[in-house]
Amino acid sequence: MKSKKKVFLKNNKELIVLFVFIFLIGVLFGLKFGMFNKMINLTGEKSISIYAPAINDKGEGVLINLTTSVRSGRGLVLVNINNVLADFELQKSSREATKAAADYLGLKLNNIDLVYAIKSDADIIGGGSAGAAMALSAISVLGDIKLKDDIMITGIINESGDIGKIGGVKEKIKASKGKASVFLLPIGQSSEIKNYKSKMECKMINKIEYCKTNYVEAEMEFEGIKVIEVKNLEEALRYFRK
Amino acid sequence: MNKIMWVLLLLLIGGCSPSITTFENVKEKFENKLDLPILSTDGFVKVNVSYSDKLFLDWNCKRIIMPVHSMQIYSIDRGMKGKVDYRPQTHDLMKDIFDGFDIELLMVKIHNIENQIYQARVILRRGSKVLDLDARPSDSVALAVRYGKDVYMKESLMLKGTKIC
Repeated sequence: MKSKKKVFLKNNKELIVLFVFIFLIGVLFGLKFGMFNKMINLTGEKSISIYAPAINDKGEGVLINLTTSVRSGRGLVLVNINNVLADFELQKSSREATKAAADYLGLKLNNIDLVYAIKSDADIIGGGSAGAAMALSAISVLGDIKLKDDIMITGIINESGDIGKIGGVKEKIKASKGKASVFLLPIGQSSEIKNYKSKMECKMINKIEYCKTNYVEAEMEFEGIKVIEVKNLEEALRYFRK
Repeated sequence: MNKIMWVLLLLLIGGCSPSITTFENVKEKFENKLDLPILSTDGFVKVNVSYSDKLFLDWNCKRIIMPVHSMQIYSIDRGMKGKVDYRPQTHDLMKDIFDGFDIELLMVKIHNIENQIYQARVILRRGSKVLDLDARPSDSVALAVRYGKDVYMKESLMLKGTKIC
């Protein structure tokens, strides 16, 4: 004799599968849009300043000072234009950097405002290459993560935290000279400065000394600065974290 | 007495013959037949070398076309014609160094392609030391033609070449 429970499960099998399916879709939807992310409790204002490389209107590499502040608010992402004007790409970068940082830390930013302030010799700063630096500074200020000050990064950022290609690699590294010992680049952008070295391995085979050489990638360096390619924010943080 | 002399002479020759054979074996082993896996040509084919503004490697109606710098083509041309300019090419200089230090070019092999770039090995020997070098195919060919050595290419790579007959 079958119990009522077993009969119910048997008769409503399709319905149960449908409910489970809808539940899973809901979970995925929630994860995607950060519905399970936690709110941040903030008293007062916090800020962090880092240097980021950029290209000025003459095509020269320059360093900009990026100060990222967080304070209680209404979920605004602001770019301070008191010192320098920001173009469309930079505004887009600030929005995507904030989203990527919030997702990385698993935070909801509905109750805070994030302000990016840039100081530079240039009048207008454009392009999205400061995106990765903005995201890292946001992670630092939101997550109380201390960053090393002798590392610099260039690269656009998307909402998933992937770091994308940019221009003016050599000019930016040159601009970082004296301030950085390590420079992080998006994947596939170091071809101009890639370096190889000959590696020799020897062994005895049938009383013959057999030595084999292969050219392998050497540590990349440009203008005395170690250059490393990184794929996303997580990889970049491995180098940046104090 | 004569008989004893003959017997002694035969014994002497008989006794020496294994030593002569052994000596020849050792000589052959060290001079020609180095027992090393890298010297195996299994899976490789001998290719014919020709060129225009590119390097051509032909085998069995298949052709591999390699874009090569004009200086390398010029060096291969000089090597194939057995000519040396008033001032030596880099590969002539390399040959002088090898010859001066008793270094023998054993073999060149084009064994791999990575990111659309062919890779070769230049295998050298000095005494009981063998050096297996990572090299560009054009350098390998330029050296091989100076020594009259065959150029080997992996058959699987050759089969991917253009059909020419």
